Amino acid sequence: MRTSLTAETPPNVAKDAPMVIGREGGFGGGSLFETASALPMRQQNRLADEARQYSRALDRAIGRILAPSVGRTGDQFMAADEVIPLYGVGATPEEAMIDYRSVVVEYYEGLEEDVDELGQALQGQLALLRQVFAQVDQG
Amino acid sequence: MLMPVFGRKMDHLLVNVLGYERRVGRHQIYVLRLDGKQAARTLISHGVREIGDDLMALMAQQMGITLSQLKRLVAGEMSRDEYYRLLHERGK
Repeated sequence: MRTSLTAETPPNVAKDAPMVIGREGGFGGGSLFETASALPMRQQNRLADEARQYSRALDRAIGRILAPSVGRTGDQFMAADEVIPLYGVGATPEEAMIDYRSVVVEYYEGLEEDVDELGQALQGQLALLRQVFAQVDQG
Repeated sequence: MLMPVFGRKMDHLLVNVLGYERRVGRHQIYVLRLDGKQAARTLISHGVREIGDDLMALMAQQMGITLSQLKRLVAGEMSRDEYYRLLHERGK
């Protein structure tokens, strides 16, 4: 007799673990890295290419609208714009720009979450950041 | 000249003195609500080791004040009420 996958806990998964096999067509949670690394190599390469393309498009949009520059701050490098302003830091100019990009993303997503309670100045920042991400979506 | 301020000291100023809400993600984003609206946001980036004048100037701009005013806050020479009054005067 065959047993349904959802009826038993796999031998390496605790019974109270949040992973439920088969629910929503997947095999439970896990980080993006864990999920991606379990895919066939061709799929992994395709996802990596898409992520790189998105990052490049985001960098172009950021460059056009926010125009950040990189300089030294103490023993680190700092990428910053004069528009919002946002900044990122790192041991090299490249790391500072990567940090800056992640700040832009997190800051933007935070504003979107709170859109209904933003004061005037923050609404202006959100409008500007929406332009950035609209350009990315347009390619 | 003021010595560089470390992230922990700035975090204390923002949260415990000025009433910002700390949100921890990859970076620490601080949100200030006044009269039911978000008046200002500032952040301490994941990679920051110390906060020198240039970085503090950016944070001051995010907080709606000048660098010298932020330095007064850090030094304990300006109160939260004064800071809020400055924000109100600037329409924040």
